[in-house]
Amino acid sequence: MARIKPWQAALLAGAAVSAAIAFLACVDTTPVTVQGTPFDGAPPVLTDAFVDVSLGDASRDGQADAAVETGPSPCVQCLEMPDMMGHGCGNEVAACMANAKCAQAISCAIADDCFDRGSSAGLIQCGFPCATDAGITLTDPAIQLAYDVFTCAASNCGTYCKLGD
Amino acid sequence: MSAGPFRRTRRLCGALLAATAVVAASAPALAQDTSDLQQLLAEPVITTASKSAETASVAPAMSTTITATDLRRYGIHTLAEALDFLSLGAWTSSNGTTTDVGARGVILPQDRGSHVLLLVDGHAVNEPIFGTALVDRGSGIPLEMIDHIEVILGPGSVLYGSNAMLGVINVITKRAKEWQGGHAVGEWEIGKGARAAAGVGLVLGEDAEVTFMAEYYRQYGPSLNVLTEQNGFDEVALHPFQFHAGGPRDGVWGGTTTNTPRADIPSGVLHLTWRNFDVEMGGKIDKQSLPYDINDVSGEAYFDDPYAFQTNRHLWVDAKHHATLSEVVLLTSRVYADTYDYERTADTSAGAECLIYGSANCRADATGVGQWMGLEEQVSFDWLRDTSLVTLVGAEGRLRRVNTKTDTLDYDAFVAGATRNIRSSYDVIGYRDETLGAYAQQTWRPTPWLGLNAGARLDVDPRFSPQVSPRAAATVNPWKGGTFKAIYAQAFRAPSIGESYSYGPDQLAAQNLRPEVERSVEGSLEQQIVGPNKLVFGVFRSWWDDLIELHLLSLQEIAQAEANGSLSLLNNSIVTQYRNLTTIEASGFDGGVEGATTDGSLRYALNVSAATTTFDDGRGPTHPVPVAPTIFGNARVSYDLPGALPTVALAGRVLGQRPTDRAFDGNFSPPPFVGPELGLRGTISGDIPILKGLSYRATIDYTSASFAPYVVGPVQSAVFAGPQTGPAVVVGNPYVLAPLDTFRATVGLQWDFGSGQ
Repeated sequence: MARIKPWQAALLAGAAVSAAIAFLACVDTTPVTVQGTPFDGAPPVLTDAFVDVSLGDASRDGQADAAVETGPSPCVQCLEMPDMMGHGCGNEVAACMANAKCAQAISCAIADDCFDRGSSAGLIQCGFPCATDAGITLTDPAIQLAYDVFTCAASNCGTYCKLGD
Repeated sequence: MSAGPFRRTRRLCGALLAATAVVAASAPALAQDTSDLQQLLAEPVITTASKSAETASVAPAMSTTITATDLRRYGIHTLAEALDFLSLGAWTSSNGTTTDVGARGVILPQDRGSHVLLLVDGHAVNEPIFGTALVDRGSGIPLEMIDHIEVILGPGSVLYGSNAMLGVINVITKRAKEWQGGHAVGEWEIGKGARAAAGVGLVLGEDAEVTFMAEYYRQYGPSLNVLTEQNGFDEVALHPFQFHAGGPRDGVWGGTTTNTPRADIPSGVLHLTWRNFDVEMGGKIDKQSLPYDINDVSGEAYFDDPYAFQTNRHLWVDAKHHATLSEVVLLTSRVYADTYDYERTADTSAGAECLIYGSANCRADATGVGQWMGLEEQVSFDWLRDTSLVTLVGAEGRLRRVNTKTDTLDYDAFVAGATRNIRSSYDVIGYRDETLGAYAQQTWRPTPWLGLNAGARLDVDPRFSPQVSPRAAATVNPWKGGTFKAIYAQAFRAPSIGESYSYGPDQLAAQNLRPEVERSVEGSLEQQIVGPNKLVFGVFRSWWDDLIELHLLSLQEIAQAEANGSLSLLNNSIVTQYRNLTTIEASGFDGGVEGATTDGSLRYALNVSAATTTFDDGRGPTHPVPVAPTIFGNARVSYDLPGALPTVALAGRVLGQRPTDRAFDGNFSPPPFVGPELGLRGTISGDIPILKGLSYRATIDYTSASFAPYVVGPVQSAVFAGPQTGPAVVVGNPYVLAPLDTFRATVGLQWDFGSGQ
């Protein structure tokens, strides 16, 4: 049997350790931030130990940023879903979109994030200029269509649109 | 000169062997003395209970020593099987994804083995993020490299600190002197998996040696038959539930698996000894599929998803130096470093979880890295130079850091090979700390019939108040071959970093978790009978306090959390938080008998344990510990047929009726229990004469039970608790239990070559 000197064995062991460490490159735990997504939980309470907890900071990794896409808000997602079993406002939105004035007003309101203002007062304050710009008056049939979208948003999509005040 | 605990074990064994040779030369006049010596030789020497070599009968704990011969003779493939078939008082239970370890009536389902301390040659492998200690294929320890396994029952924190509550399992690997040459192993679990391993033991002159073994295990079966649940229509996704991408949208969870279970697990252990230095290194990559969701409170719901898996990777190195400073003082220094990471990814299949972020189907991808390193100094004072009065003091400092995050990805994009995060990472933890442990132990044997052992360990962790873990033990030998033991011990488990700080959209971060604490009293009698035959019987009682549980918040608690801003208004109605909630009391007995004929050709053992338990989580009436049987045991017998004929062995284990993990909080009527389970294993092994050193082993396993005591799948409760993580309508089976693989056959070859013997 070949005789191996202790220092050679130690060298082999060191090489094995180095190879293993290189092989076991750590998984990437760099947090990813996606704009427009909601608050996802509370950070833990700080203790005497050093704790660094954040809800996401993509600045450390440009690659992570590159993978990020911004989607529609949860409220708008819900508005666009077909009405079924208490969820979605697709029918109301479709009726509104069939009316030129209502379509313009709702599109404007969505573009201005009026449904994400966290309250019905915020929606009205934000959406009123959109309705005015679309030429909707108090006697216009379009106002009923817009109102239907609003009431549906408050009920079927209340969890996501937060219009329950 | 090296004189570490393990070396001392061998030195003691060597002395005994030398004595045997002298006595054998004097036969038959010394026949009676030979018998005594046989008894002494048959008694295992353990090093784990006191961090010093001592016979099992005087050690301050009830223990089992499982030898390499036992592992081969009884066809053992994993540490879990070794516990199940060969140990006293401990058993394991698997739900198909994780394997839990139980002892003396207590098991904590899905604790990842965090209530038992797993050591490899004294190096603790429990990681800090979850406390994981795997005893299944994922342990990453090639069995052929194991010299013996010491299973120490009961609290062991007095010398080892956190996690040593159910017990301490110390895997002692072979040294080159007993394992010289090359070793190659091939094993086939027919239709289910295969394993290949290769190792070497090299003696490098007078005072140096190397042992190394690497193995690769691959699992590709079996197909599991899982009862089905009709989960109906996903109101949010607006189609019937779908439980893996590409699967049918028919609302059905369960059926026959075709993509899972799967596993790929390469691992290896390297040990180098040079003079008074011991350097050991281990590594593994444990990638296993997740066949189905278990204990679902997280919104996950998947079945046979080819992309659902978990990977644990662990690399560690441990270096020891033993220095005999004088005839009285022995100094042992140890430095170690570990890196561990994990990735766990699974389809959430819960419509609203995905749709509100603009994805039809999404998956959770949890990753984390834990790294820790430490230094331990231990000094032993053998005051009278005869081991009758020994003081052991030691201190251990450890640095740790942990980083974790969980991402939510668009599943369909993932399957197409792209990465699209649909919301910001959560469970983002960046943590580092320093912990310190200091211990002292005094052993005193004032007379040949009395032994005393007392000690305590102080553990300092910045997350909670300093924790003291004492132990006091007395052993009395009132007559020849008989030993009484009385032991009081206390153990603790520090909350894992995950338990302390993890959070998510449906999980609140814990608030000031305390360590779990166990107190235990036990008494036992061990009696050597004739030759290597012995009998042991013990009684115990234990109290477990502040056990950490993933608590399900009430609607009032959820509203309060929403009001103070710590919980999103977009959460599920199922919200959890780790809390110190549960207490357990357990009392019972362990009994066993084992032995062999004079020539050692026939060996046998029988172990029986029983325990009554009380589990109280403050949410209703107390009840027994879920998943734990009241009575369990194992038995084995083997016979070496004469000449070149093989060794035949039969081992079995019995578990009594067990409540499932949802028996008492699932509101099912009647509560789901599983009946008694009998597991049998037949093994035949022997040499193949066509090639020197070539041997074979074949095993057949049969399990009488079809289900393990775990409710799996989306339906975890008869009372529907939320609109997004569970079904609106369940038709058919009210719940589904984890299936068991009832039959398995394994054949293998081993070739030991080049030993020069």
